[in-house]
Amino acid sequence: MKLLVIEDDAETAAYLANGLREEGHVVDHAATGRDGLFFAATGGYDVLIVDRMLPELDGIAVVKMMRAAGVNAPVLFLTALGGVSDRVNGLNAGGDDYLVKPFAFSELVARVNALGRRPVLATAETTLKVSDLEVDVVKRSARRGTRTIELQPREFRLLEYLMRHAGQVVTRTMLLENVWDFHFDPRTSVVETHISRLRGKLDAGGSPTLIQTIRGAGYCLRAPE
Amino acid sequence: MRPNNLVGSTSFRLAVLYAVLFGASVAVLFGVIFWTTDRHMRAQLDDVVETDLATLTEDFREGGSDALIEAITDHLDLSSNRGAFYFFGDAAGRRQAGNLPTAPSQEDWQELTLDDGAADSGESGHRVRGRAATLDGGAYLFVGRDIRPLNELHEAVARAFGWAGIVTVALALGGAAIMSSGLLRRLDGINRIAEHIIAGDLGRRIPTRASKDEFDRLATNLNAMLDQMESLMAGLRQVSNDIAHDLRTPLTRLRQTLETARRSGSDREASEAAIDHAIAETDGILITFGALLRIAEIESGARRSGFSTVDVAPIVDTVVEVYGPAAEEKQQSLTSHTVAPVMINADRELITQMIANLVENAVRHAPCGAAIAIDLSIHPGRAILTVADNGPGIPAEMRERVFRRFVRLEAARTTPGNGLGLSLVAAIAGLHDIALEPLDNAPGLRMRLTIPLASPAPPG
Repeated sequence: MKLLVIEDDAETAAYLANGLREEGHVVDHAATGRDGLFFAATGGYDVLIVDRMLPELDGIAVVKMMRAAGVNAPVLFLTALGGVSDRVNGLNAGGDDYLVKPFAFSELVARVNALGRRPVLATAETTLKVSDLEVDVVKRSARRGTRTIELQPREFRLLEYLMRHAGQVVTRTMLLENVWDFHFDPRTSVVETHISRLRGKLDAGGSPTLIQTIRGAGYCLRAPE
Repeated sequence: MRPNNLVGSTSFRLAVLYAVLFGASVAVLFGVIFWTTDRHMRAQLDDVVETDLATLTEDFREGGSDALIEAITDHLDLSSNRGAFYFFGDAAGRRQAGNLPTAPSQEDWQELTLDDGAADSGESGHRVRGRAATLDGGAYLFVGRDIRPLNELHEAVARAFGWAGIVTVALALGGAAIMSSGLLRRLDGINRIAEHIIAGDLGRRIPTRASKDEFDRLATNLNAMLDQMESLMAGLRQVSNDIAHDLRTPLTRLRQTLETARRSGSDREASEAAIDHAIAETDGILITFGALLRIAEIESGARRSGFSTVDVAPIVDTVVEVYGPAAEEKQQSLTSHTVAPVMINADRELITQMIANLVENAVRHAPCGAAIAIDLSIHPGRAILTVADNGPGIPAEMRERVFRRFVRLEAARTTPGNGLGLSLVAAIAGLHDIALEPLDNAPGLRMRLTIPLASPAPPG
């Protein structure tokens, strides 16, 4: 994807740019809000990564102006501020996601991919399908081949989220936020437990496993190789 | 007491202001007394003149001029009539009788000043107030009275007022000086102690007298404030010590891990493992710092602006759902009983975290096979949430301390955790005015939260 990083700290910017390039993305870097605004308006980026604390023009203002100028690309905010009002302010300004520093790089990559993929997977789809797993979003039913899978409402939400991000790495934090609305990190490995339960239900009867664990990053639902 | 300090002080100025007001009211009092007395005396004098005039006029009517002259002479002879003045004049104004050399003939009230000598009675320099009555043929009779007593009254009152005024002002200034110097001395005392405290002697307190007056109340309140400040500072020192102490350990481990990584050198796998370990250690430290910052942010009250009306029941259900599998893995039974809706004014995220922390604690520290029960019920004006387990519980002497930062029970020392979970719970409870009680579940721990409901609660 084509990415724009707006970050004034040179070291962080290098860390982000290099890491993302290694993932195969094309990355441009702007060191000030003003430059970032200019690049964004003319560059045609897939995802924008914006630091909230910028000199002169802060991240929130930059995104507001971008949206006013018609730049609709998804925005991921990076910040050292972790309060809930900061998150809400960021999202209200036109941001799409929010990461608190310091973060694991795999977290950033997963979220950038999730944001970049969004327009392609329209939410209007009522049936999601990966390999022989079929999920009907409206009827809230899941089926593996001919076998119906009984799922609790929350388990279904977990499966739906994984399906909508099929093929992408989904981190624990993303799951906690989007499936359970937990905006903090529980010390217990609750996500692992729920994933393994879901896996158990999906893979019952010897079907090949669809939910892969990506070490150090998260999980990925995809057709087995 | 330096004079300029005294005169410039508010208490002195107030005292002087009071003295001025008092002086003014004294002046008004004197004025009223004077005026009333003056009018009364005048009225009396006028009455006497009128009576005299009427009597003498009657004498004239009955007996003519001769009778009148005789009557006037009689009147003048009476020593009780000292201060009486008469003049009986013919149409041309020539005196027929009386002790005045001349007198006006107008019928309205006049005041005359007598020159020396000419009057028969030998009194001079007087002011006479009286009036005339017209008799037949242009003759007239003037009767008057000496108003010297009135003037003497005026002078006496003025003199009295003058002296009183001087005494009042003197007393006022003197009193003001004494009172305000007394006040200033007490204030000075307080100021000096405050300077000592500012200079660093935090243990000093302002002395109070037994009089319980407003200064003592001020002193008592200031002392209470100083006590609180001292304990807050002690608490702050304690927390800083705790933090430094408790973060030094993981940081030391981190350093050791990194040294291991370095030493592994060519052994790629070992080095990678060590680096992974170091990252995990760093994450742990960052989580601890994050929790500390969050606690501080909550304790500062800044989060209150993010409050909205929140239903607690579904939050409890979600938390139970999230931790269900974790409990199952330890063969624990995790049950909940809720009523809905339970509307409160809260920060949704913080309430979720608080309940999650409590349930997580129960799942973690209760042994395998324990039973954990959560109950949410509604009472007038409040909701009660309890998280109870039948595990080891918290010993009575630790029940207050567990909410402090970094405190961990001996039994839990080997389990992962940073000792901040319950501090966070306490901070969130404090922000929301939730009463948090650790109770003995006999056996085990029962955490009881009393949560004020959002008002007004809709019926049914």
